Amino acid sequence: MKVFDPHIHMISRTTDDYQNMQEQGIYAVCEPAFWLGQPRTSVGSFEDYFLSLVGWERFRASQFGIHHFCTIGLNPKEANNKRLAVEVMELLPRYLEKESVIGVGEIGFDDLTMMEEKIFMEQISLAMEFELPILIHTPHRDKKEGTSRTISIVKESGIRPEMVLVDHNTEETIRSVLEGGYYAGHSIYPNTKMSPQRMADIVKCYGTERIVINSAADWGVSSPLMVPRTIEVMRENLISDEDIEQIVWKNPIGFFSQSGRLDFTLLSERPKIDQSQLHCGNSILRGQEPYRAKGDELL
Amino acid sequence: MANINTDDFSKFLLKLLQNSLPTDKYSKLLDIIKTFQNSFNHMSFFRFYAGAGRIFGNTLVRCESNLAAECELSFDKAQFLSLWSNADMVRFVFLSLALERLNEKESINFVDDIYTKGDLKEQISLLRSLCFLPEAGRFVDTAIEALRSNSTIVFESIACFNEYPYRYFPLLHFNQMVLKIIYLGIDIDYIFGLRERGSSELIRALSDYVTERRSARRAVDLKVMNFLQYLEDNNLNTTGV
Repeated sequence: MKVFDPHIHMISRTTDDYQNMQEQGIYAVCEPAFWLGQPRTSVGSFEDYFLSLVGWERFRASQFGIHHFCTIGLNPKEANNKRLAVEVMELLPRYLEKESVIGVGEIGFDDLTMMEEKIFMEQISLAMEFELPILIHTPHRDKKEGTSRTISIVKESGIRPEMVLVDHNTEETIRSVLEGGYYAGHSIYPNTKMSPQRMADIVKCYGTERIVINSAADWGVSSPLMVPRTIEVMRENLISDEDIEQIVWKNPIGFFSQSGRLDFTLLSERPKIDQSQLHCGNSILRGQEPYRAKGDELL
Repeated sequence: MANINTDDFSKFLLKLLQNSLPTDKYSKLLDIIKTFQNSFNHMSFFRFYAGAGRIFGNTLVRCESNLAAECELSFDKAQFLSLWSNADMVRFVFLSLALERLNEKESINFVDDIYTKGDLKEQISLLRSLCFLPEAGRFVDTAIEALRSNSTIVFESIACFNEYPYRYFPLLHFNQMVLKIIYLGIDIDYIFGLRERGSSELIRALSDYVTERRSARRAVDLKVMNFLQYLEDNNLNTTGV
């Protein structure tokens, strides 16, 4: 089964992860811009990060036969830095034009501050101007309240509900998200957030329409293989392959294809691996013989 | 404890350092202080602030009861100092000297710069210091930023055994801090003035937290349940101030 992980921070992961992801059926990923653990002190760090997302990381993924896309945005946590927030907002339009950028994100709330709200609203307006879907982060703390405020703001903005993916849902928030007509994302973590079994229970309860799952793997304790792992658990729970495919492939593609920048035909095949290629003079190889696929075979 | 005058507190820390540091290190400290007093400049400050741990050590300083009394600090209230190292104390002394030379706006930016560009130990020293700085409330944005730290020890330095959040945090951020402490599995009793800052909004947030944990089939810490019960049993206003 082909898998699209619609929320994963590959910049924090290793080449082994890419290799394992490929072996587990992951064909495509979307990497939302987020915070790096260490707060940034200048706008230049944001710009270099955005450039990595559309450049080096995309190249690295392709070297393992995985399509890489991203969403660009100012994450809610760093939206609280007023000086930087203004400067980053000025950068965004340029990066939202890049061809591998398929949405605005991750945006939304973290601490539920006024500054977060202001930047969130501005980014929704930008998304509407660029006709891009938005990927919304919901806070880990005070999630119910955060999700409720998120929905109010999204409603008020006038953006079409199907252009909105509200992420990191739990049993507490999913109903209001689906009732609003939004896509509902779920981040499956090895220990916290949503577990594979809980996710399977949610699918049994709510079905597959506009349901999306992701690994949200980053620099913390997380796993880039949580989507394939959840597929196994859903199968154990007798959820049909057709339904599973809807969740892990068709729904994320359906959502992000609204950007007009996803070529479905291209996505259905892996990027042809040619490890002899370089990006800005850099190779992912460290002395190994470059692998060149003749057809669409894997490494 | 936060009512202590900055100068008096600085002098008190110097006495503790005199007892704690070897003679040559203490002399070096006095030399640096003299340099700052004669010709203060930002770069030398940042260098000494960063190097304080390396130069003066990160060992904890013992606070004797007679010294605490000299500073009109009851020994009980001086207990928070058991967490302070030589370097924490030295950094406070340096910072209090620096702030004397800066105007209000410069002071706010200066403190923020120390936090933003400090390593973990510098950040911890700064956060422990905040409550004792003159007009401490003006540094609240920096303190709030520390709540967002991914480093537990940095977060703990503002959230635990620190009077600053109790005195200066707006309701929203105080409540966020309480929730983050709970999420991190840290004892809520470490929060200074927790009960006094209880509010109807905190009851709402904690109740949502409990419901979410139960939906996820996860346990809720008994202390959290007891605290929520305490809040519900008391008539609380909405602001928590």
